[in-house]
Amino acid sequence: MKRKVMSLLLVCCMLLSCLAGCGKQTVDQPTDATKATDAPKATDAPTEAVPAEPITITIASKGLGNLFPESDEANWFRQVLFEKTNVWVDLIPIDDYYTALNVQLTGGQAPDFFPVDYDHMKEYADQGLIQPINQYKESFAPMLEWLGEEYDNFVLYVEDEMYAFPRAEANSDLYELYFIRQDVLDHYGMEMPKTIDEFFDFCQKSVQDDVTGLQTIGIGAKKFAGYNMIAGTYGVMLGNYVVIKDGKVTNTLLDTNMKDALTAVKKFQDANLVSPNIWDAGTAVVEMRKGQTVAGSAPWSNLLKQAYIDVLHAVNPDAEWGYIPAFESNVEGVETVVAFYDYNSNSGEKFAVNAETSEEKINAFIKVLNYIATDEGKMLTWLGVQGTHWDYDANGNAVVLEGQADAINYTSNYQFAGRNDDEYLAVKFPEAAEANEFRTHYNRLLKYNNVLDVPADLYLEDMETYVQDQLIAFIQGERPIEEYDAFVQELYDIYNFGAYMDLAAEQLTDMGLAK
Amino acid sequence: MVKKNKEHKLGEEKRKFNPVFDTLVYAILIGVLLITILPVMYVVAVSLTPYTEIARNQGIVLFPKDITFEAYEVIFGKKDFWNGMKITIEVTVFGTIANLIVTTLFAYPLSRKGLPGKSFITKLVMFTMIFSAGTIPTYLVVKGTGLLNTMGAYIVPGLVGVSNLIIMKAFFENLPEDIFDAARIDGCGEFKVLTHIVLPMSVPIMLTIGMYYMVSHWNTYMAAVLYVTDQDLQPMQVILRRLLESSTAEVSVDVVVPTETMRMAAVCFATLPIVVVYPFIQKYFVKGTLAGAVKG
Repeated sequence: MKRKVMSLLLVCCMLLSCLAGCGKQTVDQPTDATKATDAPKATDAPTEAVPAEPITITIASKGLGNLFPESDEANWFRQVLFEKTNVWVDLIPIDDYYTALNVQLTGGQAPDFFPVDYDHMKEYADQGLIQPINQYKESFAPMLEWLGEEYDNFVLYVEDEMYAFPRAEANSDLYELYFIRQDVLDHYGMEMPKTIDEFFDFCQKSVQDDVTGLQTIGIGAKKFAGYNMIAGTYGVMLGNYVVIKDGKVTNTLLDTNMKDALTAVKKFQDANLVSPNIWDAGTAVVEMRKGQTVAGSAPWSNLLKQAYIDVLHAVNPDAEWGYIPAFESNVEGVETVVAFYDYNSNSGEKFAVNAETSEEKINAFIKVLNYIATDEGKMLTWLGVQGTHWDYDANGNAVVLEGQADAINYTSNYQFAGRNDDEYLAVKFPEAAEANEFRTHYNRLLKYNNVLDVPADLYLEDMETYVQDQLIAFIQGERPIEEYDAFVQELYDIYNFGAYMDLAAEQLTDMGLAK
Repeated sequence: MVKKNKEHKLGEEKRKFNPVFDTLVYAILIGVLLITILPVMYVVAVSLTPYTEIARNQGIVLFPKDITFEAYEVIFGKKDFWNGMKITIEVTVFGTIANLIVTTLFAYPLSRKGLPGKSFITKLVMFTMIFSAGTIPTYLVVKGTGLLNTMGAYIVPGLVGVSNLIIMKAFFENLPEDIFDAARIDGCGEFKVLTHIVLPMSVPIMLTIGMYYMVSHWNTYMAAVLYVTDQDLQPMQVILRRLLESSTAEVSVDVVVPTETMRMAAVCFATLPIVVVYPFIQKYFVKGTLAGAVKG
């Protein structure tokens, strides 16, 4: 009998523990989590409640970088910003960003403000997870004036409601620069290559002689960027890029010079002059950083920061990067293009407002935005505190004080309104000033892909994967270049490429960009 | 004794008749050993090698010529690494103890023959293994129970691992019934039978299951991403991922990517404690797993 009673008790215990998670929380056991959700909303609260009271806002961050201070106490920027605005800004780093953000939003625990791309902004707006901010436009007018009215554009709106704060973003496409090892050129007594034939000779000689002593690689780059150094001399870039040529909407894949471009690229590939690691995002860059590669295409920020120059010089003290001007065109009447950039480069992530964020917190965020849009605030987010982290030199240029570079490296996390990138880079990275000036002279291909809609029956990602695979097959000789026309026909037959281009033409014409 | 001799004879016969086979087996085993050990050697060697030497050797170093502890000095100087390590150790120690207590208390009654509804409860538990609740419902439960931003968020949601429960239950079912009868005749109640008879006989399974739980706590990552935003409560794996991720992701122009040496030192730092513990438990590992695998 005793055993039976004991057994029944054990059964009950187990069932209760199994079902524990299904229970509804009782009203008399409030938790911090529910307290936060049940807090009175802005509309219920008196709007002018104790304005002098400090306020804390939370802002999601996709990553704080490896130099972010380890504690709030060590975060001098947070303290200074508070002194200027009476607002404590707490950055909340979120790993696996959209997965975690989706869960936190559904659970009512997301930060007050968070960066979102356009697709997620639309999704969250439809679900009522973020709130419109039209009524605050007057309040952040100073910040918008600083940015420029052009930043108040369609990427902030869903059905005429503004859901994100304007933000000027750095266009990293424009960072792409063609590099060449100046010390190797000097070693051979060669001039800067002007044509791709001269470039071929330079790369081939360097690889054959193993001039670096590190199993020299000719061209390093990320994905097609290395091949595009050569293809650009035919006026094309390898990939699905919608462009406007002579007022007409077209695609680089349809360009009549594409076959010649692929043939030229194949010559470099056949001679083993391109890094075998270009499809591995990190490795090809590391090869360049340590000076194993003698030329290539990369964002300046991947190679020219002092830390990377130090690595290069540690391996080879004489190594020095030079910059290649655009090679001469191989097609009469066609100008060489160097890499590409997007028509709407400002379509990245902007700060949206959690539906549960109070009016008081929104006003506090706007106060912060307006402050960092002042000259003082701008310099604070760029270089820190004048006299402590930076000062003006005899020529009136702002310079970082010795030993302060690491201390100001994390302030970019607070550039909520973005920045004028050219101005910023000139001040923050004087070591790359020459490169940053050099890259502005390139003729880059302007592509429109990121403002285009895609027909419902076209899986763009599938098509682009197929395009990439086939272009590689042409370059590596797995498919003869003579079959290029057949490949384009496959795009029409299999992927509905015609409907894609028709829709692109219609949209770009409607936007007044094409005839 | 007789059995031992027999085993010895069988072993001799095998060597006698299959020299080629044995050589092949050893060759395969050595191959497997190299495949297993080389990546570990690589990580340790790179973490101790100056970056310039790595660069000169095309990134491959197995026996460093010049040893440097520079990367470790930098990591040891980082407060968030130490804090992450502290959180991970706390979660691993307390979490594993809690797991073992609850799993034992759950598995033991389920292993007893006279338990009413035993089959139904077992199926109910199995159901949760096959059909999990999903990320958002689980998040809502964690939130509803007030565990967000607490150490409990790392421990409570995974308090009972169903597969571990099944293994432990099977182990208990294999214990000789006569011992239970003898204990009861001597006046032991169910709880005393568990604590004084069953647990002392269950060291292998406890250590095996404990090891499973321990490794899973050591690797805690998603729970931190989903349930904990407090930076002081972030475990080692999150801190480590941030460091490793920055080397491959499209990073901000302001971020300087750490060198290979630094990243490998971080991997060693994060792995070492669990590697040190493993040899002490290893001898029980096979015994415990096999014992639990006899019955399902």
